[in-house]
Amino acid sequence: MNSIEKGINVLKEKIKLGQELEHKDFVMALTATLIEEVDADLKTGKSNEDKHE
Amino acid sequence: MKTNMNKNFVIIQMARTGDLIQTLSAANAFKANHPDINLSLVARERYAAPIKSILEKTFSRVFTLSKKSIFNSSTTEEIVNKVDDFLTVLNCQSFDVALNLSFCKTSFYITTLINTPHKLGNYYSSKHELVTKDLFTQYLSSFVVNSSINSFNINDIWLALMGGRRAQLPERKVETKEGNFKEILLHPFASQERKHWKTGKWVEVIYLTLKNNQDTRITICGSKEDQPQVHQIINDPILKLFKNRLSSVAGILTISELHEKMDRYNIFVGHDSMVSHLASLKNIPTVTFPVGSVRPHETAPLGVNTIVATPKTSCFPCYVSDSCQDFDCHKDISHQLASELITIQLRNKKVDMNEIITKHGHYHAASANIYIGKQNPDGLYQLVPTQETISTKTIMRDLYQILWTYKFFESSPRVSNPIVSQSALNELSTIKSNLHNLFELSEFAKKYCTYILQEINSESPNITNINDLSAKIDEIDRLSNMIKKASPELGPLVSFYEIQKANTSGTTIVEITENTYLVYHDISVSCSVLDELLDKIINTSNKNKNIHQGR
Repeated sequence: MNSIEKGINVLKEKIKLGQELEHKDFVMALTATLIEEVDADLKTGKSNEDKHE
Repeated sequence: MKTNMNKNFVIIQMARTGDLIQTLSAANAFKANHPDINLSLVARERYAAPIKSILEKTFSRVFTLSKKSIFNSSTTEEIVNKVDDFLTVLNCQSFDVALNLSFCKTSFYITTLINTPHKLGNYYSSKHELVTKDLFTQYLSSFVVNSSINSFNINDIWLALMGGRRAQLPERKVETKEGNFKEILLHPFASQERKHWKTGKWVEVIYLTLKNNQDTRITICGSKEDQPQVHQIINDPILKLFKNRLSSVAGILTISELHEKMDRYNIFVGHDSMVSHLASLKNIPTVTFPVGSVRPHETAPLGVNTIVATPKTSCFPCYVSDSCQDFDCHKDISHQLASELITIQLRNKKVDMNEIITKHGHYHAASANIYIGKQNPDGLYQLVPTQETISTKTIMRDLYQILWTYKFFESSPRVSNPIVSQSALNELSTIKSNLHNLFELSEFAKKYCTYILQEINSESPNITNINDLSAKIDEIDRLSNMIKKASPELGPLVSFYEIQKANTSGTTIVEITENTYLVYHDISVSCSVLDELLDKIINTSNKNKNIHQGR
């Protein structure tokens, strides 16, 4: 498991427990979202960044 | 004390280039109101880079997030560090206000991570709950995202969110020196297949336009990827006669270069695409044909006397998630009608539906809705229909416009009472009955809120009673949610108040209950206003029907 996966798991746990998130948690969440976007782009072969999509 | 002199606003817009150009338009209008406020922009590198020089004329700083550079990293730590570095650069700026105009998780997180005392638009709380505090974003979340009943141009909503009001849009007429050609800039493309006609249809439009306007030339613009289709259009045998009046700059001019050279064109013709908004920045009269998932009332290019023709097919506008093979909406606007509207704009003429019907017959005019872009007395940009197009949806859109113009701007726009068909009357009666249900549910919720407050204020508050009353309010919310299914036209209204309830402010149970009471009260008021307006329409139509039957 790489550091991003570990970070995301910690983040998920914190959200589940309703704990206050810190700056580094939100940075991890943003990184995870960007990874999701890249994955979706690769899968569909197009940009998936539209506001209504 | 700080004054406007040193206020710094940052706008977060993570959507496509077209959205960035519309954001720029709202930002320009805001700067006209508040020239002392510095505006910065956060955008995606891939969408901002092509128009960076245009953006930098308005925004003092443009920060771009480049996924390409972030993911060009050797380790996962490096990826996280690069994301953090991007935020560190942003947070060196000391912004007073962050305004998030886009609806994606990336923009929510960036807004969350910007250190600023004031935030507008969606962002997350420290417990990862989505915060939608301001009225305009609550409206955008309910009436714009996942709904097609919004009557405001998104530019006006963004401008209102920034705190600005649009000045009078300049009117620009088509003027050419005698002997010179009238120049049309044509962009027959859009970001998705469903949003643009096939090249064959454009060939017919070009043919008829050049045939009927001998003093006119057409230049096609587009990207490098569009070049094969442009080649197909230009080399179509039926356009052979007009080759000397048809040219292309597709893939030759960059977006910035096109923007620089746009003044030479008299009108812009195309779909509701990024280039149409670029033309609107230059006040070039436009003729646009929105199709597919484009919402014309929301995104039509700004400009006085712009012409917008939309399909009448009932599924228009669709949602991006809807699957569609046939593109029925592409067939509604005939090439004859399209060419006629282009000629009207080119000749500075007024759209006269009777004249169009006389010239082309009912068949061509009946399948399209034609609108003229105008600013209303409140400065809001609106599409004014050229003929009576009365459906339940258009009536509800008009009624919502009255309601929200009053809520947002404390002004009451004038909307005439349309005479509606029997089937529309039946639908309106159903909506009216569901409005009554929603009103009654809100009144019950207000009572339960009052009981909770009374219980809390009693000598020995009983937590079980409070929980029971709270459960009853939850039940009311579930029933209200069912109204969305019974009358989809009321869906955005119910959603709006759901968002308001989820964002009720207060730190104690008393404060939260009091503020929740106010939300339910607002629902009751909105229902009453809509009910009264519906009453007027139904009564006028019934009266008119009785007069006709009495004759």
